[in-house]
Amino acid sequence: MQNEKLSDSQRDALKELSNIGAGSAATALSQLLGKDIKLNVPEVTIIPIEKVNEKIAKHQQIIAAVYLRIYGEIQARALLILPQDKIFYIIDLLTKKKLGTTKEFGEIEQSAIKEIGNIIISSYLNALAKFIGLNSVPSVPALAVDMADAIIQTISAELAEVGPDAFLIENEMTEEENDLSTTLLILPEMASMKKILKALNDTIKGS
Amino acid sequence: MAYINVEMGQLKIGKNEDILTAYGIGSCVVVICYDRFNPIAGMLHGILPEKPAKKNNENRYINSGIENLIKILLANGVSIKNIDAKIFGGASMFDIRASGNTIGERNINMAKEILKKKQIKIIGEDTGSNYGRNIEFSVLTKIAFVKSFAKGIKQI
Repeated sequence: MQNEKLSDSQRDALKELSNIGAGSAATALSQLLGKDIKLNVPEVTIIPIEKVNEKIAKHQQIIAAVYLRIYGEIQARALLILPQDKIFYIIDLLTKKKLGTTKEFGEIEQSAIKEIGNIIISSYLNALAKFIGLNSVPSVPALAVDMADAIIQTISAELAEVGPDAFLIENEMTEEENDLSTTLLILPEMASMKKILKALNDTIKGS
Repeated sequence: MAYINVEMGQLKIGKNEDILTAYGIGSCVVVICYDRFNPIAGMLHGILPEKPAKKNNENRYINSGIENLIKILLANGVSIKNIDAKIFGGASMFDIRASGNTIGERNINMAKEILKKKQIKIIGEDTGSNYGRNIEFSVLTKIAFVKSFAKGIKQI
């Protein structure tokens, strides 16, 4: 199932859904970091899992990725990719330290990033719940900082029971001149993907 | 002399001064089988441990991929008793499951099991743990350069 196979209703609903998710993620981040986070309209696509790595195209770049499972009316995995070169900056903001203080990525810093990942992903889950009435909760997050290829490959390989397609949401977020753009991957199990697509359809039609 | 890149689910042979490469290996396992005496080697970049009955792309799977690798080396005149192996990868990038159950670990175990069955000795390995790897293997020197963000460069 590719973007072209979505009906117009589904496509519109998906756009609106990701707008809501992104908006609440930006609000949550603004509050957390005490800074004004500006957000562009997110780009959301459905693509086959094996095309994800090519689409994200970060390959040998080092990324920070927060990974968690989603339980409830939606069974899925989520992977949030954060700009690795901004990690220390984000942690300084989060922990209200003088910019440039954080230099090492120890346990506290790792926890901070996992928390941020959790919050962003939860914003999208809440949007899903509000907009199409499917409730879900995230698991405890895990973190990896490594080559994009290695991380994405590992997630794709782990997904025997997950469906063939994923939602890819690219968030362009900026804070002053800093690019805090994130990429969110949601990989639903087959049955959950069907549920989501049906709900997207029903939501727009019902409105 | 050529750099021969082996993508996920591929198997390639190198000779003489060729360098066999594989990049961005997470849970995938790279199996290199080479002729102890002659400059010929093959690299398998396997993704999952076991080939399901109905699937055809054998080099995606460690078990059928290694069978193919050996077959091709034999077809190139290599003697089975002269084959040695090196294996890399099989990392668990996120610790979300109990040990022993991640794809990376299952890939490593399958590779070791098949090579043992074929009586091929594993001369070197850099497997497991939680970091991604890039592999560059010189067919001539039979040395693998293993590069990672986490651990720098190792020669195996």
